Amino acid sequence: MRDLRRNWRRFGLVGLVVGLVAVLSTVLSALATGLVSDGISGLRGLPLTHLAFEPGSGAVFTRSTLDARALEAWRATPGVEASPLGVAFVNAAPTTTGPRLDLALWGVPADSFLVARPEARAALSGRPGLVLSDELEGQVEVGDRFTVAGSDLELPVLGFTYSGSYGHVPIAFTSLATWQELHYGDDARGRFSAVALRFDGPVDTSAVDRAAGTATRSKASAYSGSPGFSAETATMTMIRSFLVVISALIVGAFFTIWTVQRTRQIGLMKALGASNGYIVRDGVGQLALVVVFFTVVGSAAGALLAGVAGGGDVPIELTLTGTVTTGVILAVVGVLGSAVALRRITRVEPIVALGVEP
Amino acid sequence: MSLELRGVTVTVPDGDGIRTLLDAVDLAVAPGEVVALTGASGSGKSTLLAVAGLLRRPEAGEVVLAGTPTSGLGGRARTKLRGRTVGVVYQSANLFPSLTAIEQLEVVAHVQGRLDADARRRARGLLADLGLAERAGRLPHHLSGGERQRVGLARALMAEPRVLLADEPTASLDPRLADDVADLLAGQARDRDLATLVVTHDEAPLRHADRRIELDGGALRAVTAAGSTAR
Ligand SMILES: Nc1ncnc2c1ncn2[C@@H]1O[C@H](COP(=O)(O)OP(=O)(O)OP(=O)(O)O)[C@@H](O)[C@H]1O
Ligand SMILES: [Mg+2]
Repeated sequence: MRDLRRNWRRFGLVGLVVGLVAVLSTVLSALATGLVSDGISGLRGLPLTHLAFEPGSGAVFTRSTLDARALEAWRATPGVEASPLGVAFVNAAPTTTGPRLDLALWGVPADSFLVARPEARAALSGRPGLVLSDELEGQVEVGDRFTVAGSDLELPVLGFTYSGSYGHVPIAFTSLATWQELHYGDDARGRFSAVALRFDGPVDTSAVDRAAGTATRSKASAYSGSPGFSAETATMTMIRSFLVVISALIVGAFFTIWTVQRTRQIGLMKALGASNGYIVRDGVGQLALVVVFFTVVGSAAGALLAGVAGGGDVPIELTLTGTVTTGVILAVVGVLGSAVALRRITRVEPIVALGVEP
Repeated sequence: MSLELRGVTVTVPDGDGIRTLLDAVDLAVAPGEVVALTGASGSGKSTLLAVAGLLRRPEAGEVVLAGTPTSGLGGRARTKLRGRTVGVVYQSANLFPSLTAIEQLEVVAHVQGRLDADARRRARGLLADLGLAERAGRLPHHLSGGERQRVGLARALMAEPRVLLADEPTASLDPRLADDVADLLAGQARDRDLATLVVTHDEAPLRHADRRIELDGGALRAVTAAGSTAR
């Protein structure tokens, strides 16, 4: 413990690097959480458990088209609630005032199990219009009118709801009929993107899929159909894993150098009767203290930074569990990094204390 | 005998071949006896000391420490026996750079899992015995050469060993200080009944020794007759 006390400068340097890695990891973890939210919070928030897509669509709504046959087959299945769902990415242009909006336009029937709140139900069953994600509140007002995706239909903003976003754009709900009119014009023929399902009992999904001509995915596995979702999560995971590995390597390298520099002292300890266990505990203990301390400081600083950077256009979402998990992983892997030098410690011969080569 | 070497042979790699550094060496040091070991540079004095202090295993032969034959002991048992029966004083003290004088002593007890109030008291007492009471809180680089060497001696005595080994303990001191340290070392050894082996080139330790042996060509030879035999 004593080396640490009197040589804190030397430990400070490796601590600084560990701390910086912790800062970066914390911010990235917040960014990763934010990106995920931005990508799928709208889907995650819906009270459905599964989604039936057109086979071969790979859980991508915009590649999937189903019709009444699929819906009826699912509706006929006992224990299953089913609702048609239309999803399209559109650009909405204001006819009066307000900004142009990129929207994920979700069409659902007013009586769908997806629509829980009575006022939302009322809004969707009345005249055609848009219920927008609350994140647009402030930019847009109730009553503003938009034309969507080149159609002639003018849609007023009916209200706001906590619908979240999908594929990094805010969600706008509309009735399925309006969605079909916008998407297919006069030629909708009852088509939509996917069937939203809710069941918790056992359902033979593959049998129903065969009858319905669909491919069913669980909710979580349908996240990957969100534009960019897989690539983003993979990239983030990769960057964060690299940071963890880098942290471990830095700690390992430092510990190795420190051990080599202390070879004579380690020999001296052994000459005084210290066991390998004692010396390893002493060394790793000091290192662990440094790593844990700087990881905590770095994580706190990273959280602060993420708090400052968040809120704007950057999709940062800071969570306590995310920050703590990241910190713990960094600290544990960092300390494990010191394992590379353990052999060096145990191999030191006590005779080096006399200045004789072993 | 507190320290006995019987037929100790040490060989070291030397270029393509091997070199016999110690050739079936016998040596016995009685409690309270101070033996000075001389020899040319590279003759193997430090190596002999290391073998005697269980810091190195010989290629052949037996080392008996405080009555315990050690050739059959495993690594852990050797470490433990070494910690409890051997004190070593090094050339230029070899103190831990980041520990104060008192901590140099306390670490000995800590290493052996016996750092209690009693050990702390003993550490203070030892420093005081060697005239270092005022220096207890100082780091090595704030101590003079003579003080460092005395701290090194105190540390070697901390575990209450039966055998005291010193490798050129006065080589880095001027002659007057060397004599003080050598006097102190021999005095402590006799007071505490330690079997003591001092490797040296200097006059001072030789003056304070009971007998003197020389290592030459892998064999030990008595230099002053005074009751000792060459082995
Ligand atoms: N493990 C080893 N491998 C190779 N050579 C060794 C080894 N151990 C010792 N030697 C050699 O053995 C010789 C004796 O070393 P030692 O340190 O015991 O001599 P010494 O008498 O203490 O010398 P000095 O007076 O210079 O301290 C040296 O030449 C050293 O290089
Ligand atoms: Mg030597």
